[in-house]
Amino acid sequence: MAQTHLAVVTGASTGIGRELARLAVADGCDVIVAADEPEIEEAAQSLRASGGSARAVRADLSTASGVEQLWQEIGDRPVDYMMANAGRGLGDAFLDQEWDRIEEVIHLNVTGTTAVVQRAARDMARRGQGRILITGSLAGNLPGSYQAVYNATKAYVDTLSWGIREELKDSGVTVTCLLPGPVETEFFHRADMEDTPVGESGSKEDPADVARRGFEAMKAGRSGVSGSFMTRIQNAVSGIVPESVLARLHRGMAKPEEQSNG
Amino acid sequence: MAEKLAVVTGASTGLGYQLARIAAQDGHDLVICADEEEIHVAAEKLRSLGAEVEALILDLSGRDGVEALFGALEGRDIDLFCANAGRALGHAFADQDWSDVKRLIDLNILQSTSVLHRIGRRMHARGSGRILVTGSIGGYVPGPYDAVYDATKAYLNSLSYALQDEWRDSPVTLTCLMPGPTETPIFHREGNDLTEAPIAEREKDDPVTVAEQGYRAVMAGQRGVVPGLHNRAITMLTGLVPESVLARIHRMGAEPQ
Repeated sequence: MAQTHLAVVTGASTGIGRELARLAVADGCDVIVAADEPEIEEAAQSLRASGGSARAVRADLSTASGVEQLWQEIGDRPVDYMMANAGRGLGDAFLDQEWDRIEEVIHLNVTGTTAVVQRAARDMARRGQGRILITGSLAGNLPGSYQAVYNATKAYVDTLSWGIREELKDSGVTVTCLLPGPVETEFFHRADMEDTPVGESGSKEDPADVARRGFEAMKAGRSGVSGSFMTRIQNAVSGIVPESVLARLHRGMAKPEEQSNG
Repeated sequence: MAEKLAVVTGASTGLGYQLARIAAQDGHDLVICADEEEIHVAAEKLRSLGAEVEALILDLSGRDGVEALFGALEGRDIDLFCANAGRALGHAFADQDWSDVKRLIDLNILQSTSVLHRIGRRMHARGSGRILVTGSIGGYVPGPYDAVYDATKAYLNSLSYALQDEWRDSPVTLTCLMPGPTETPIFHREGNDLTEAPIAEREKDDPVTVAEQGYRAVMAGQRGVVPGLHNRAITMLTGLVPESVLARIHRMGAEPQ
């Protein structure tokens, strides 16, 4: 009898991560969900209520000890699907942002994601099988004025995904990068971006749709997937429009409404 | 004492050294730093060009290093800041030591961002200044066996263009230098693990030329510069990189202000 797959999802208490965990349960996986907030327990309970086997790890995945905590929960069990989704944004002009908050974003989006992915990649490559899904962003293709560090961290994540995917080409392990545009989740509130045009926009995507496309691409071992049709177009456009124009476009999306002169 | 001051990080060898040399020849006094003794050798050579040079040994991959750098810059007006310090890391991602990967991220991303945050605030408070960030063409050509390095450079390229736009109405300019493979010690340093990489053997660009183009670009307030575009870098990339990406790289090299 085939062993039940194990899926691990980080940043799973809300948003895209929560939807990914739900899809994993529906797919028949055991699930370990991780996040740095109490809501993760409720998320695990909700997954169990729908008939799944789910465990919660409350850990700060921007720290080495947090990543270690996650692996303690995983134990010796092989991970079939690693969904490195934890991440956060930060709005406002770079020089107006507090350094501590900038540092948090880098630790979580860059260092933490890299640590989780590296550990999973190593284990999976040894076994000759596994699927990794990394939540990047269309924002990785756009220099992000008024969201500079976040977009830069996503440029990092998108680029890293591609690089390691190539390396693991013949190993039986695939790496998929999820590249949504703006999605209707807690992201904008947590990033202090509710007062921006993109934060206020009613045309953001449904995280369930985004998660479904990501999950399916991951299972099929594809390289990357955009969110909706419109963001795919934006993706294509960002390949032929100069960087400076992209940054200017981004300003129109992300600059806070009541920007004081600074 | 000269009327202008340039700060160059990672200035003991390679691009950093060349940028410091050109800045000195152009009349800047210097504050230079690196995490090795060679910085003092570099300082002596630069002093012989007539510049006043302060040399610091510090590790910019740690917060202490950044604090020490800014301690030394206390109260000084900085005209040009070359955020150049960076490392590479070869071999397969799954085979790299986590501590090496973390250190790479700390140096190329975390502390670079911290430096830009602090120098950006200072220059804006003063009302003038020029910043040159050493990114890389590798940021646009994600590579196997160089994955984390390329990703860190993608970060720097992206951050640079974002800040340029945020600062478009300000007197502070930021220029992103994106070289292709350049003949510097980055390929031979023990910690970078690149000595066995094919790229280490290939013909590369001359750091003097790359630095000259970078310096010209930052003094002209250009957004970005891809030195060596019309020779080795483009030869290396053609056939490996989709046309749309090549086209974008071309545009970055040619884009007016």
